[in-house]
Formats: sequence, C-alpha cells, structure tokens
Amino acid sequence: MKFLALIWLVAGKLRHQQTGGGRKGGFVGLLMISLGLGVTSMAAIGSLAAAMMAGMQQHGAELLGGDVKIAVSQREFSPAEKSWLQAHSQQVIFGATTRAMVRVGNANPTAAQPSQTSQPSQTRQTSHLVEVTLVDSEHYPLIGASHFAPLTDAPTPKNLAQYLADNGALLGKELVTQGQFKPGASLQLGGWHGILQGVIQDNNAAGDGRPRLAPGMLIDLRAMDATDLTRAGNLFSSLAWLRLPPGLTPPQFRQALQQAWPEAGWHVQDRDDPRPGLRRFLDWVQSFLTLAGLSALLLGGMAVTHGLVHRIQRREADFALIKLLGGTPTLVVLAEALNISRLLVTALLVGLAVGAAIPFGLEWLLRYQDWSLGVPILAHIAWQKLAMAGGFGGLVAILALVEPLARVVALRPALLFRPQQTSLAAAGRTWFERLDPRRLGLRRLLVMAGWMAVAGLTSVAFHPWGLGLVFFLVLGLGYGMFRGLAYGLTKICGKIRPYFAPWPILNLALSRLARPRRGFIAVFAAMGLSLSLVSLAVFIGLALHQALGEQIPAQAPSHFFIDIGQAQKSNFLQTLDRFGVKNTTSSASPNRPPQFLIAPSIRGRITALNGVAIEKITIPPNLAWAVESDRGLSWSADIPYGSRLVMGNWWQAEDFGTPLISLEESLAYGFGLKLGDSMTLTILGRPITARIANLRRVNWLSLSLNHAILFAPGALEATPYNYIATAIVPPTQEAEFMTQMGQDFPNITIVSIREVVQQLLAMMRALEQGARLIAVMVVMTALLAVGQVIMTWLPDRTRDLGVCQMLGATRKMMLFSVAVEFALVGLVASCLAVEIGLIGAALVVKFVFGLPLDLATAHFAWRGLAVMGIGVVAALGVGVGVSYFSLRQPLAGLLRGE
Amino acid sequence: MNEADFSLPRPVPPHLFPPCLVIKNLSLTLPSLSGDLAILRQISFTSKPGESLAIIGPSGAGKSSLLMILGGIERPSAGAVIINGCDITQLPESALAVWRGTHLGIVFQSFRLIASLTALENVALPLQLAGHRDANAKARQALTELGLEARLNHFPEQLSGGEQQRVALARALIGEPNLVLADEPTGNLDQENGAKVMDLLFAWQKSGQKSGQKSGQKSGQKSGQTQGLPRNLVLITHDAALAARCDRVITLGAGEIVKDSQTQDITS
Repeated sequence: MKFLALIWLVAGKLRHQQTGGGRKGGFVGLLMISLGLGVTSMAAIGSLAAAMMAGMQQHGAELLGGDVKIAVSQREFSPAEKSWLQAHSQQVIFGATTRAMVRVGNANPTAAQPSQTSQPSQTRQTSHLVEVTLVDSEHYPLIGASHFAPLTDAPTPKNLAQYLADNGALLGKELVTQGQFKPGASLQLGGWHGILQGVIQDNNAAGDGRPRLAPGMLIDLRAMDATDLTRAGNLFSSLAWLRLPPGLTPPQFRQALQQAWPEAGWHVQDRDDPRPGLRRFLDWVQSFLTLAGLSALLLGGMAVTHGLVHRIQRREADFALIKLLGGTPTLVVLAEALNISRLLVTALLVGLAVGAAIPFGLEWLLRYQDWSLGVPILAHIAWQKLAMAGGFGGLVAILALVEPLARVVALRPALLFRPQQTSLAAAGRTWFERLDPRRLGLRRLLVMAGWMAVAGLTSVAFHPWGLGLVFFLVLGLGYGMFRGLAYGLTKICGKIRPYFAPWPILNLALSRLARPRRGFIAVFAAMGLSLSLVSLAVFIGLALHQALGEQIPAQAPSHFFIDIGQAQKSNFLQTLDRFGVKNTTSSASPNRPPQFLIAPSIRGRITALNGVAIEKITIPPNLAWAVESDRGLSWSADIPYGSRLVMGNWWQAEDFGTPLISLEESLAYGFGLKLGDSMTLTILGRPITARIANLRRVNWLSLSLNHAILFAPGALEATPYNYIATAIVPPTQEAEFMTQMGQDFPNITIVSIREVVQQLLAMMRALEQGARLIAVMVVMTALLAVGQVIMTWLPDRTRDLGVCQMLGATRKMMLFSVAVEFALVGLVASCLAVEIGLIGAALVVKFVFGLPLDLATAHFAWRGLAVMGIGVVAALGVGVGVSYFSLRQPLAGLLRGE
Repeated sequence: MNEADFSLPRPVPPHLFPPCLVIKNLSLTLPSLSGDLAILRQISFTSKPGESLAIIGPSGAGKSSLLMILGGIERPSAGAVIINGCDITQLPESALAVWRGTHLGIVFQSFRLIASLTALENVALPLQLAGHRDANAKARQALTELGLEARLNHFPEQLSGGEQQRVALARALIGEPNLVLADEPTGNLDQENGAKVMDLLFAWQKSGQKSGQKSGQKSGQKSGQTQGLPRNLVLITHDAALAARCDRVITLGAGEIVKDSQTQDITS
C-alpha cells in the first residue's frame, strides 16, 4: 500500500515536471490520435456492421413484407400448396415476379430524339428492361410499408390499390427520371396494356436483397394472365408473403414446411434473416475493413512507441534525477507506466466512444435528411465489437509500452554527470537486453510474444478463419521486404556518397540516409506498408474496371435474350438473320463467341446430393449461392462453346434420355462430388435425380451461354421450357434491332450487357470509395508514426542543422537537404509499394475475382506514378514539415546549450 | 620583370589596421515569464587586429549571449557589431550564413560535429558550402597537420573527445577566417588534451600576426579575402590561467563590462 502511494507520488511529480515543457497538449493530442484512429476505425466498422445486422433483424418482417416470404420458380403455387399456406399462417398474399421488357409510349417529347418527335405516337415507344412484380394491391405489403408517388402534383392516392386500379402501373424512379415519362404514359408488358400512374420510391418487399439489375415495376396480380409472362417455361417466380400466427416462429414454420413439402424446391426467407446474401456480403466487407483498421492500429502502435521514446528522451534527466535521489528502477518505471497508461487508456476509451457513437450519428443523419442506405440500421452499443477493438487496442498499447519503459529502466543517474557517455540514446542497449545472458534480448522476446498474441487473436477473430493469419503473414512479409530495402538503401547511399562530395547539401542528405538514426526502419516500413495498401486498392480498382469495363465486354455478346418461346424460336432466328447476326464466329473478333448462341432453358433447385437433403449438408460459404436459389438448367448434345471437358467422357447418342449431368468443376469440388455421384434437383415442383457423367471447366468471363448444370438430351424435354440466347448485335443496328424485337416479340426479355456492366461498375465504385477512405486513414496513421519517429530525431537533427548554418549553409539549403533525404525515402519506399500493390492486385484479381489482368497498359503506369507521387509528397510533407519547425527557430535556439 | 617594377604598398604595422571588432552600445533583452530580461546592457568595446580576447565572468553574466551575437547567431536588441568594417547586425539571414562560412570560425565546448559525416567531411563542409573545389584536399591537409591523418574516415562517435575537438578546430580554421570565436573549447577535455587544443588555437592566432605583416606587403595582389589579415580570437572561458594567455581580458557581470584589462592598463 505504501509502495503504491509512493508510485502515485512519483508519478505525480514526473507528471508535474513533464507539463512544464509547454508541449504537453500537442504530444497528448498526437498520442491520442495515433492510437485512437485505429481503435476508432475498428470500433466504428464493427458497430456499423452490427447496427446494420440488427436493423435487418429488427425490421426483418418490414424488409420482407411479411414474416416469411416464399418463392417458387417457373410455376404457380398449386391449390394444395395455397391451402396449406393459408392454413399455417394468419394471413397470406400471393404475387409473382420476373424480368421483362416494358414498352413505354407517349414519352415526354423533350426526352425523345428530335427526328422521332415528328413520328406517329406508336413509333415513339421505347423498350426498357424492368423487374416486374405482380402483387395483391389490396394487401401488399403484408407487413411494413412501400412508398409511391404520383408523377404530377396531383393529390397522392391513398393506397396502392388506387395506383394499380384500372390497369395502372408504377415504375422505378430511376427509370422515370431517366425517361422523363409523362403521367398517363401507355405501357405494354407482354400482352398487357396499362397506364403509368406513379413512381416507386421504395419497395423492399419486392426485392430479395441482391443488387437489382433493372428498375422495378408494380402491377396488379390480376393482370398476370394478360401479361403472358408467367406461362409455363418462362423464367418467373411465384411469390407468397405470410403473416405467421402468434406463437409460431419462423424456424418452426420452416420445419413444418419442409416436412409437408420436402421436394417442393421452395426458396424461403424469413424475418430472422431477411437478407442472407447481404449479410454474408456485410460480413465479408466488415472483415476486410476491420483488417485495414487493424493495420492503422498497428501503425498507430508504432507511432505511440516512438512518441513515447521521444518523450522519455526529452525527460531523461528527470528520471535520472529521481533515481539519484533514491528512486528504484521499479518505482520509476511503474510511476512512468502509470502516467503513460493514463494517456493510453484515455485514448482507447475516446476511440471506442467515437467508434460506438458513429452508428448513432449515422442513424440520426439518415432520419434527419430522410436518406436511406437500402437497409435499416439499428444503432446500439455493440459490446462484442467494442471488446474486440478495445482488446486489439489494449494489446497494441501494451506492446507499444515495452520499448519506452525499458529505456526508463535502463537510465542511469550518471547521465546527470556525463550525458554524452551515458545517454541511453547513444548507448542503444537496454536493461532488458542486459538481463539476458545470451543477449537474445528479453525485450525482443516480450515484443515477439506480444505480436504472436495479436496474430493469434487476429486469426480467431476474423472470418473466414485463415484471413487473419494470411493478413499477418502478408504484413510480416511486407515488413521484411521494406526492412531489407531500407538496409539496401543505407548501403547504396554509403557507397555513392563519395561521388557527391562536391555537392555538400546532397552529400549531407545521403550521409543521413547512410547512417540513419534509430527508427529509420520504422519510418520506411510505415511509409511502405501504407503505400502498399493504397497501391493495392488503386490497382485492384483499376484491374476490375479494366476487366469489367473493357476486357470482358470486348469478348462478350452484346445482348442476352430470355424467355424465347418454343414456337418463337424460328421467327427469332430469322429476325437475327435479317440483322446479319449469323451463327458463326466473326473473323474480325476471333476471341468472341459465335454471333449468336441459343439453348433451351429451365430452372431448378438443388435439393439433395447423393440422396442427402441439402439442408443437412455443410456447404462452403463461397458456394452458398448455388443452393440458396434456383439454378438455370439446360441440355446439349455437344460440349457448349466456352466449356472444356476436364473429367469423364462426354455422352454419346445412346446415352440420350438417361438422367446424366455435366457439372461445372468448382461446384463438384465444393460439394465434394465425383463422377458417378447423384444430384437431385426440383424442377417445376418435381424431383429429378441425375448421375454426374463428367466435369467441365467453364470460362464464365466470356459471358457466353453456359450452365453450371447441363443435362444430357432427352431428360428434360418433356417439361415446359423456353430458350435463352446471346447475340452480338452490330452497334449501328442496335436501336433498329431493339425496336423490331419490341414489336415482334414483346414477351422476350432483352438484357444489354453494356448496361449490366455499368450497373456492376457503379456498385464497384461505391466499394472502391470505402476502400480508398480506409487506405487514406491508414496512410494518415502511418504519417503520424513517421512524424513521431522524426520527432525522436529532432534533438540531434536540430543541432546538426544549426551547426551547418553556422558553417555557412542557409536555411533554404538545409531545407533542400532534408527534402532530398525524405524525397528519396518516399520514392524508394513507394517504388516497392507499387510493386507489392501490382503483385497483390494481380493475385487478388486472378484468384479471388477470377478475372483476367493486363498489367501492360498505360493506365497502370500512370496509377503507379501517381502512387509514387503520393509517397514522395507524403514523405516530403511530414519530413520537411517537422524539420521546418526546427529551422524556423532562431539559430541561437538551435544551438542553445552551448 | 623585377620586383622594382611594382609599386608595392609599404608594410603596414598591425596597430595601423582598422579595428577588427567594434561593438557599439550592444544590448540584448529577451522576453521571459516575469517580463523582459536584460541579458546585455550597453556594451561597447573594440578589438585591435591580431588581438586575442578572453571574456570571463560568472554564469549568467551574458558571455555566451555576447559570443552568439558576435557570431551572427543571435540578433541584438540594440547596438552594432562591426567586424572588419561590416555591421553584421544589418545583414539578412542568408548573407549572414555566407559571412559566417567565409569570415568566421567557431569552436564549441561539445564539438558539434555532424554525426553522419566523417572527420574529413566535417572539416571539408564549410569550404564546400563556400564553393571551394579543393575542399577535401585542404581538409585532409589540415587534419594531417593536427595529427589526425589516421582518423580521416572515422565518424565522430569513433573519435576520442580530444580528437573530436581537434577536428572541430580544423573545421573552424580551414576557411582561414580572421576571427575565431571559442566557447569553452576545453570544457569537455582533460587537462592534457585541453592544453594541446589551446596551443593549436593560439599558434594559429599568433601565426596570423606574422603572416599579417607579410601579407600586408602583398595586399595589392589579393583582395576580398580574409587570408593575410591579422587573426583575432575571442575566447570565452572560466579558466583564469587560460584567460591570462590572451592579450586582453574582459570581465562581464550582470550583462555589463565590469572590467577590461586594456582600459585598466590604460587607466593605470
């Protein structure tokens, strides 16, 4: 107790002495920011993700439009199914959804081409791809609310039924804004004719959480027959929204459904997990962003270490004096640890508090501005996420304390008498190192143990399991590379220095690099690792843009055609032929698929593998998509274009009629299937079990007509089916072709690859913005670390600058010398960072996204140069900035003490 | 062509050179928490060419401040510092830097060598900054003359205190300044090394008197150079014995001259 009181007393004395310097505020601020930024980012990312998850769970029923939402593919619910659903729910409503082309007439003349305005009204029709939902307008949505608005200032109708009455329809606001349609514009959807009544503002219940590739459209379910879009064979889904009776939970309902209809192939979503795909995506994004936050935290730890070393360097005499007056090393180090811990704990708590507050702030902002993220957020204190951020922050803070406190222990009172000889900064050895008889260094062992603890915690805290470990391995490898490069730079500068002897300012800069101060490796590694992250983000973004925006469209068809009826096939092919689209490969574009491909199409759901129900099988997360929804199925006598046989034999004519399937190899490996195994699919409500005859490798990037599951001919022909097709339509004929298709085949859905790619690019840009924001934050933390290290150099550096000025150098010359030094550091570090970024991007793009990468383009060179420029400017900014404040002092101040 | 063809100026005795150092009404006031603090008050003196001048006094008397003003390191609050006819208080910062590099040598108590440069590079630095092409050769020669030929490529941390101070001395003298300011140059050295360093410093200063007489005869051939002018030394020390080796001793007390051996001599 007495000892504790003594520690408190000495800590108070040291604190009092330290506040006398007048720089406490700045130091504390930097310390707080260094540690706080990383903790804040980790806590904020975790809290935001938790708020979104909680929001989705809390408002699950509103998002779905019911407690449970059920979808079946390519068929309507049978009367028996409908009865069962009605019997097991408090209320049920039915609907349907599909993608289709809507033809809009009587468009606003200002949106039309001048040449078209003089045409008769029927020729001013335009076709648009929409995701149409047919609903029970009296009761939709069953739970929650959708929002609609009229096109004019007319009073808002009271409910959806009024909008959809008398063949009324609502269109997505993006389409209405883009098309500038007039109220009352005529609409044609398949065989149905209606009137545009208003705009869909938000309609969560119609979506399933996946990004929409087309604007929405709502019409009354009673128009279903008139549209002719939901006839057998067409790619549509029937929907049912249910309100569960009190006491029946979604899992209980699912169980009952499974028991009653084991092979119905229904796709069920419930209020507990309304958006499974989005949840997985959020998990994935959260893991990556939190790892980036951890990078910032680790760099912050480096900054804290060097900041504290600097603080102790400035106060060496204080510690030595306390020791001289009778303070034991333990007493002094504990007193200083108390002082530092006070600051670090404050930084941690502030960081956690800010991180925890961000979802609340965002929730308020969204409500205040009436904005929407697409998912509701429910701000709350996410203790688990905060504990993780706090745990990592605490561990990094403890790691950061080891080196500075070891210095305090090692300080000798003799420093007061012979500062030059006994100053720890000059000695470079610490108490911990002396402790170890073999000079391995207990301090290093402690630090290593701390790092292993951080690595271990990272490995178990992030999903998937290996991600954290890979992160640490990559980090360690990167650190090792930058350490090696720093060593190489010092050696090269030492070698070339004599050649620069006639230029003393350059020689001075090189001499400082050849004989760097302690912490130089940290400066180099912090700069390099953070720039590597920037270049990785930049190059991945660029590679994805190139692949999606240029390379894939260059070898892909221009359009997809869906729901080509069996009777329409020959007319459709004739239309293509009229526009010069032949079933041959163009000699001008040998990498592109034939100008058109057509294949039968039907949808089915995987329900069992080798006789085991899919619900009982653990499916790898990356293949969850394959079993969560319906898969497109087809059959072919020959190996399709873009596929290659990798295992087994292709079927012969004698095999036709046998239920055989050709499976895409990644699905087979992921499901643990081999040749001869069986797969059960539910097609139009009927189970079909087929044997795996062979495996194929599919080049999905060709966007050619391919199916993961392909049947041998003869197995499915008896089921109602349609055709799907791809075609390369010459751009010059596209407008005319679309008009013709709209007139001749109003039921055929046409998807423009260019528009899909634009949608994908837009989504990617949003992700890129997030990644860049995190990268900028990491760079800022790295610069803080670099600044703190440079601060530890300042006493010697300031003196050297003063001496040089004494010998005839001007301030400008000295600034130039410092600029050369840091520009070289920035340039060399960013060169390696660009290399690492390029290699990392190539690996990620190739193996994670499975996309092609062409590095030999000017875009990559320019981006690389830009990253190098950022590196040089950042290094110059922090190096020259910190040194400039030293040089601004009067010369007498620089040499004070003489 | 023989020497008779030249109309050489007559040899000028050192006492006829204009005063090397003229200090007029020099004051230095620095702000402090308790108000302005007068460090130096109305100090005036002149120093003859070729004179060695010791400034002594108790701690806080203003010795180092005076030295810093003489070196153009500190700006005075009032007064003038005229060195070889140039009032350095009027020079802008960049001109002061050039002036220091070409006209002044400074020796510090704790050597002030640049840690990242070798002994040779430390010594060559002022000449290189002044644009001399033969800086390395001259630095090598200077260090050799000071007995450091085996230490040319050593870094300061690899040298003993005495060696470091000799390197610092070589650096101060290599530009052949005619004024050297030395602030407790033996403060960090043992007696033997301290004596060696001071012997070298006084030898340099005395050799200037002789060369000054000789070069005075050649002043028509060389102009704009400090070379050939008598050499002045301003030494700050607490060591009375060391101060006694100087031609003149000024004692400071509370920012004022309390005693000047020269005026004392005159008045006595």
